[in-house]
Amino acid sequence: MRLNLIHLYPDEMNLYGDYGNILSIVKRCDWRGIDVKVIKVKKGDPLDLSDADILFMGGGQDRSQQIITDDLVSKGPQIKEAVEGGLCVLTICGAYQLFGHYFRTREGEELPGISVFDAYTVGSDDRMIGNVLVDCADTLRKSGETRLTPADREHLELIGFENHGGKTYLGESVNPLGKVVYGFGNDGTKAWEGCRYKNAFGTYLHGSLLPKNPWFTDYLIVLALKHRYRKDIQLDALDDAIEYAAFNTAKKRTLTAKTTHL
Amino acid sequence: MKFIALITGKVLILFSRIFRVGGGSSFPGLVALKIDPRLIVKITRKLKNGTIVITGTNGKTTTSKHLSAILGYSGLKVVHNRTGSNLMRGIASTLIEQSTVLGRPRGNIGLFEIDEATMPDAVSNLKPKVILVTNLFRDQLDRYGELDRTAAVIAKSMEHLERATIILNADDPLVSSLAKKINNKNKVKYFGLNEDRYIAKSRASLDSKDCLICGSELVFEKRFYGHLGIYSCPKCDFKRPEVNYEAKNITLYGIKSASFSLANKTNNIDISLNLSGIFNIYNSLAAYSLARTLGIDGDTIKAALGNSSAAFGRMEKLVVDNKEIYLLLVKNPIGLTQIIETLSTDSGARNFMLILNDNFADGTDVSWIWDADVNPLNGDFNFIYTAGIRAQDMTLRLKYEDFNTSKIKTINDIEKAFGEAITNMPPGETLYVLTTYTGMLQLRNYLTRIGIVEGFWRRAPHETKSYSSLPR
Repeated sequence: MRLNLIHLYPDEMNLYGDYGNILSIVKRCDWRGIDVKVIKVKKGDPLDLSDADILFMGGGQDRSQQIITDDLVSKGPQIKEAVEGGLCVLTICGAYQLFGHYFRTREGEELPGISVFDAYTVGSDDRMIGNVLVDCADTLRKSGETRLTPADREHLELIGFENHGGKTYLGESVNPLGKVVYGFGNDGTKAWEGCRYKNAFGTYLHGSLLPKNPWFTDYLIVLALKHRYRKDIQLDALDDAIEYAAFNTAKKRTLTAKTTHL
Repeated sequence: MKFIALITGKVLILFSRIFRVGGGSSFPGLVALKIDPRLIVKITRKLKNGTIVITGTNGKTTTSKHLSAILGYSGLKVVHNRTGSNLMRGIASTLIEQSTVLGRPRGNIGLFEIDEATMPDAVSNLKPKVILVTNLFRDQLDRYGELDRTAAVIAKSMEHLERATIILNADDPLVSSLAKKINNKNKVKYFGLNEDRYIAKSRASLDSKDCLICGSELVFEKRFYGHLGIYSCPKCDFKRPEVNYEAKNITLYGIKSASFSLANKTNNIDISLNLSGIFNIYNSLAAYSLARTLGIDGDTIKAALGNSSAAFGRMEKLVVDNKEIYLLLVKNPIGLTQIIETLSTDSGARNFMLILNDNFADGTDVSWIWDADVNPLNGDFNFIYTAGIRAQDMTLRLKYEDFNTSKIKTINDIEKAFGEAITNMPPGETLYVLTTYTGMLQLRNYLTRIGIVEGFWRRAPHETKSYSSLPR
């Protein structure tokens, strides 16, 4: 089996260990004999989604967001169409913001988004920084998800780190990715985190997100395989002891939330 | 009552020394500044030869240490915030400690390393006659905001400056682009490498790839590390500037030593350094550029650099049970990448301990380890101990680069991990400990307690860094 992973703006939108997300997908496929081809699409490059299975776009600084906005908007209709067709998408932080309708900065400048997500983001004076724990069990159940393995169903939490000034508000036609257990979440109200529309996901979580949350990586892989082969494919189980040791350490750290000021 | 701030500060320093709390690096300054906010201005304006400021992400402390030695060799008496306590309160503490009760500094030149975010306050208080910017890399983003902001803060800090010399790293596009924002009442000079052998292979930490003027992707003719190199913009006239000071003929000997030449337009000195890594060549070159700007001759610089050693914990050699240990401070992706790349040039480096903490001074976000290139460490290693609060994250990082995880041991307790590593290390070999800041402090405290290293509170007391929020 094989998958094509499109890494959008690998130079401009690449912050907070986004490389770890790509690496996590590639390795977990590789360990199961699934061949992943990573295709880097830079600003100005043509985008071909006809044979794509996963699209990834990472976070970026304000200036990076400004640099790629025009190019992203020109690719917008194509990405929207592919998402409607079931393309698996993961967007983090700055990319998540630009996949909504717009991002209005604190200064009032409006960066247009591509409206993959029915969501918009407004810059704020707050900086939402820290560890986050998100519970995805309810949101996944609500979306009628049946493809998760029993082992995966034991987890269904995401651990990560958020660092954003923008507050994201979701519209009617999208679901949050999960419920905030600890952290600020989309809009600082500590209620919901991230967003999902079909197989497209947006989240503020980095850390990197995927390595410490292997069930979610596998879930993305399953969605991508389904997209390519038009059938449900069960992944081979892996030994995730090291992954969940890191997850548990970070979770404990988050919930005790005591930073020693050494 | 004129000296009440100063005397209060001195008393507090004395108390913290007696009771061994904090080493007096921050708190006394904090209190003294509350009593007299102009304390720093009042003391520094009495420094006959003015003040020098060093800022940037990496290399501040080592560059300052080199320059302090050079100034000492040249007969100047330096007031220097050598504790690495580089926020305003740290500067105040340094000045309180190093002046008489009448507020007269015990020295004739000031040397201050300054956190990027503290630059506006520091520059307006210190009125430096020379400022050097080492480089701008992605540090822990949760503390400093984002890199562009950092550059903007540094540029803004120099807005009202006059008759100063600003020395910039020509090889760092983010730093060299600051020149456009410096008003013409000041002089700008550049330093950079002239090197063909040590060209960066790793694509890690290419933090600044786009032209700061027009946004096009910069073309790198070559890179020395990260985004430092010889670059030009394909669309506008922005390019790596001509340098006033350069380092050339570089040879690195593992992580332990290096030789190279430092040159300006007219002169050339050969240096043997007890430090290694391209980043350390930059540190020496930066100190050389500053010393030359201050009119110090080549022989003095050569003598001082020849006797130099690493700044606190940056690269420190210890001996425990007749076994050699190197302590190496890592605080961001480029630092970790550079140290690992330098270590990989020495086939004898086989025993490692990686300490990852996520306390405030380390940066509470550990995602930076995924931006570092750890691959060169994956050679014929004997063992790797991962330790510290987030040891499991480090083990995971290594797993995803196909390290043999059966040779990796994860033990959060730093003392325990260190003890095991020392016990399991074959005689005659060296243990390389790569650690974040508070892990370094913990390990040093432990080694002090068991009598391996002398109390270092005098040299490097810990400090609580305040969060400097940068607007987004």
